Amino acid sequence: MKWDKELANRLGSSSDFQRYELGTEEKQLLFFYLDSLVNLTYIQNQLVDKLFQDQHPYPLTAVHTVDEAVQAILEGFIVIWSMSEQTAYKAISNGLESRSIEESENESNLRGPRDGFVESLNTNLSLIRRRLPNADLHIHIREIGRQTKTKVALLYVQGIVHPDVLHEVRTRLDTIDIDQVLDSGIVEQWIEDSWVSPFPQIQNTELPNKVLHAILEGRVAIMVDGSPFVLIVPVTFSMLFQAPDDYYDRWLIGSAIRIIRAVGALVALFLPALYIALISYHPGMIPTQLALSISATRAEVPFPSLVEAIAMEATLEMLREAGLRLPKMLSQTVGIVGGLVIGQAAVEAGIVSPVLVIVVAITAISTFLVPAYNASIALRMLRFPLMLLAGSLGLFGLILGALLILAHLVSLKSFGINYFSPIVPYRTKDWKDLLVRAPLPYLKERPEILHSFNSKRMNLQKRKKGW
Amino acid sequence: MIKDKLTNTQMALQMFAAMVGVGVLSLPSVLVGSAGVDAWLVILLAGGYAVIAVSIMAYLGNRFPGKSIIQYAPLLLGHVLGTCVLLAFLLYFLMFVGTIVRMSADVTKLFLLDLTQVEVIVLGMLVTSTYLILQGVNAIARFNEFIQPLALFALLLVLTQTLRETDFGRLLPVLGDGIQSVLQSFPSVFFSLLGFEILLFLHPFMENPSRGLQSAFLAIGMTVVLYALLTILSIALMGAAEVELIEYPALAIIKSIEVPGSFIERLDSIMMMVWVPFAVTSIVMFHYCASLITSQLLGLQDHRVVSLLYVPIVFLIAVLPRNVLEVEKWSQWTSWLGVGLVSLVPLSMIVAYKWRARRVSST
Amino acid sequence: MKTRLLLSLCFLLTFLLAGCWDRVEIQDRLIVMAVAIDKVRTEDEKRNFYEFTAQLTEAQALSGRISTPNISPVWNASATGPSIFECIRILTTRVARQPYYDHLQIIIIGEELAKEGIDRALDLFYRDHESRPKIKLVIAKGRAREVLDLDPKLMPISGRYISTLMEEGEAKTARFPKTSTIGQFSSYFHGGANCVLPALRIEKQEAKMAGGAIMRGDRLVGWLSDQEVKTLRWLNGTFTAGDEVIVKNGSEQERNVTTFEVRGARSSVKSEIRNGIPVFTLSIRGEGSLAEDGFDHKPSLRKLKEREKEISQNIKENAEKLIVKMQKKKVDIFGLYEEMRRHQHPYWKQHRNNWDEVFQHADIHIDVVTYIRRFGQFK
Repeated sequence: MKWDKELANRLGSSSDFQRYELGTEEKQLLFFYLDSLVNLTYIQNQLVDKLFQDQHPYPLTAVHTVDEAVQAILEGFIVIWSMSEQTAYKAISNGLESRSIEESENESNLRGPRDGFVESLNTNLSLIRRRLPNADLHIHIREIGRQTKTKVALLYVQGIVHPDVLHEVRTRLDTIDIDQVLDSGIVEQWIEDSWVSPFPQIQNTELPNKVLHAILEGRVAIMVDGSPFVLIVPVTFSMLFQAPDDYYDRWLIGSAIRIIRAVGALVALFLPALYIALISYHPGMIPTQLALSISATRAEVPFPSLVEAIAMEATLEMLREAGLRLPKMLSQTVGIVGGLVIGQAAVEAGIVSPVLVIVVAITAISTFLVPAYNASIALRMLRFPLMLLAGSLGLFGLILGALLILAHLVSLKSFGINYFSPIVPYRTKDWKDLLVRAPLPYLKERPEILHSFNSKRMNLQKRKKGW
Repeated sequence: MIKDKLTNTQMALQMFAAMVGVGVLSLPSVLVGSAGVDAWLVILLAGGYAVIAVSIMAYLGNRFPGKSIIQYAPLLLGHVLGTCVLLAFLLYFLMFVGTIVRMSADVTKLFLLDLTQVEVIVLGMLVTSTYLILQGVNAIARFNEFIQPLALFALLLVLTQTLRETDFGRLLPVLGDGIQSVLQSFPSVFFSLLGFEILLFLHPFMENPSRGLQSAFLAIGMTVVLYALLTILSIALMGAAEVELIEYPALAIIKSIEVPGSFIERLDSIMMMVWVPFAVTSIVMFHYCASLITSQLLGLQDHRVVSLLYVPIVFLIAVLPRNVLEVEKWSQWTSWLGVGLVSLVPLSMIVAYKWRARRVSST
Repeated sequence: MKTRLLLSLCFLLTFLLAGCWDRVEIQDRLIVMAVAIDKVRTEDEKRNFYEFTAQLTEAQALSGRISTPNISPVWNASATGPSIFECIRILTTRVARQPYYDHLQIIIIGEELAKEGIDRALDLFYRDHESRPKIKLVIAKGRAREVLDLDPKLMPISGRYISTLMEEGEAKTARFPKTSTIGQFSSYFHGGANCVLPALRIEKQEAKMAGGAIMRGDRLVGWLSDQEVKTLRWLNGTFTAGDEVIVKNGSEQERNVTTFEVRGARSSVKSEIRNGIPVFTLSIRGEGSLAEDGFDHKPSLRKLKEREKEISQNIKENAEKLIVKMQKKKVDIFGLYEEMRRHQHPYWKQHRNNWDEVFQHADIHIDVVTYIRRFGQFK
């Protein structure tokens, strides 16, 4: 019984390792499993019963080496050693507890399917498979992580995705050599193009529809076992401002919302800096009446507008972070305390001007317009250097800051695709799905920037012009 | 992987970026000073000349596919002379960058930051431009592709606000002083169109080099139209005599607009937003070409180190002139050098090319 | 990569260390609404030439936030000196905050200074980056400072009051000349033409728009009444909106007044040279509606035509009178100099230096057509 000892050696130090002997003389079986991973009722009621019936109805996979056996046990299988046959088998033990599919909280949408990914890779894959019963959907699973041996799945649609993109993703995944992959975030950080950049170069989502939309455009999705966040590459800047709703609602609504988001992003980035530049450097550029009233409200404020704005914006960020980690009921209180009480009190104490409170409030709301959380936080963070620039060089500094950000954006790449495309270099065909989401019949081709094969995605011939 | 190459649009906008710079603000004044109300005619004329010059350059570039002037100048003119020409270009580019930076810093100081040291403003512009240069020619192209149409659009939008008060009769009489005065002021105008010579250097980066000429025409056309429009509008708004006296007519006409009821009532801020990118991209183009020449002459793989090394030199050129008039003098020298290079070098190279071709065919 | 980061970081740091020279918070600036420039009266002191008054406004007091009565919302601070810039800097020795001229609305020039020429006084305002071409320019009858010292009934700041008054006046009546900003004045003056600037008369608690000030170059040479300004605007074709011409007709028993509300006017000039003398034909075309009482409640096409003719005749007579007056004064305020430059370039080149004499003998014909388009909701 080399196996018996070997297994006991390797796993015996854990208390949840179990070894049982069952059976009669002619049919004696040894069971090895971790009771933290298996469902005991299932084993007793289903597995054991069936095993001791004469015929061998249960499809068991043979295990040939001890290493395999150890791995199988660690993954939640039950390993059965048959004395008579002197071989080992592994059997599913139906034991892994997992969260049921729920509505995604981070990415809620008004229109479209509600289900979100969960932590189990298999469940997640089934969510995709179920919607795309197509043999061209290829799923490649590999294990990453020296210790965690996390399963990472690569999803793409053969015949649509450009092989260069796929190859690039594969090569980058091959380079990962790390202890633990506990979330897709680790994979994201390893394979992203530039870690200096504040902008996310890989999109993550909890919505199966978003993933499907992406892979059907010719992108690649990366799923990590244990993480409900699925990565999508390559990503362009404009994608971070799009939500699935845009496609499901009628095009006018979708376009209007996208425009509002774009304006919101600009406001979130520039408004506080513009406020500083105008108040401290160029009051000549605001209308006389407004200049007078702002001047009157600021009369008691002892700080320069830069200090005032940075203090308020920092407070805002703190409030937001505080609200994020608290239980829902409490976080509302924090919002009220922060928004109303601090703002009101600060104005009354003459520390900040009411105009700034308005500015900060507008900025705060604008940041929430950006659907991708990581993009919105990038904009929020960039606001501070811009404020510093505006505070030291006025409008000129603000313009330079904007140019620097733009220079950075156009130089970024995501898996060989220009991050700022299709805006630049011009891919005018793709502009139909950029700031404006054109009516459905106009979106009959896949994005040009991805160079996907089989670029047609609909045939309009049967659709009459007017019904 | 999918290769980055300059598209035709990108090339046109690169050249547009190089050509439109500080000139936008002061050009009408300079022009009207020498040609009176016929200033806009002179611009068209200069545009014609630029078209001829650029045609020669494109012809040369197409004869040597995949090579820029840095490679074929030594081939055509001999090693020593070729290198000398390239060094002259280098000097011209560096001087140009220096003077543009200084002039734009002066304008910024005048309109936005009265008390801030000019060095700080110069540094701010150089940081921005250098950061972009370090990203390489394709990133520069994408940057231009984004910012130039946007800036142009904003500028035109602002200019439409002036139309209410224009009196286009002020442009009369056309050719009232005869054609001579127009011709005489021609050289002083040609400076403002300099910048299309970057075609010589960027030609091999193009996706489709045979259509470089088309891009060049587009760029020259856009620039000429923009300049002519600005000149015509300034004259129509203020009259030739007044335009001549104003240092920056383009800004003056925009300062005279007020949009009542909007959050930003005065549009000069928008003009600055338009104009700073124009200046910065001009700097970027010339600075990039300068570092390209050096790195390729020295046989370096990368232009980055060189472009970083040029920053202090450019900075010095920018801060050395003592006052506005001295800056103007420097810029005039630079422009003459540029005009000389642009007119003589391609021409002499064509002659050399023809001569060589004939010799090859005769043997 | 590392070097790049380091470099950009260094540069950013220098910005932060170096910045803020120009930073002046908005509440630390005193917004100057109006400026009055006078000539100093006492002749014995040679060094002082200008008396410069700036109307400084205190935003906080304006908004009524502070109740202390000894802080007044406006302060007209004066200084005297040989140049405007020096005056401005002398003011700084007395005002605790930084006067800010970017919101300057109006420059008022005193009569005495205007007679000696205003170009030098305005030089700083052309040059300085804080001023704009849109700043209004008026000539006060009497001292300019007194205009600022007015205490208008409805508005706290007299400078703003006058500025609004001018905007309204230009749009609703044609009693104010069209050239009213320093940008326009500069265009005319540097283009070698004469112009008419708005004139103001000061009364107890109000200022009154009182026609125009005739400027030969930059010197005041006389006044135009408001009726004359109206005629001038007919001639310029700038009689754009909502003004009226009153035509008196009818018998002696009843005073019959017809009021014409002008909605638009155009004028065009034709010039030619006959026997070495320029001949101009000014055609004026007016359009509008009947504002008051013209047809005795019985409108007819014939009466309408009659009224149109009367109006045209009236305008023509006034115009001829004005032209004769100006020819006597030898001041071309009608833009004929510019017309010559445009269309009679060779002749203009010859006579550009003695244009005043040529103008005196120029032959000017006037041709007026007016149209009454509608007459309201009552017959």
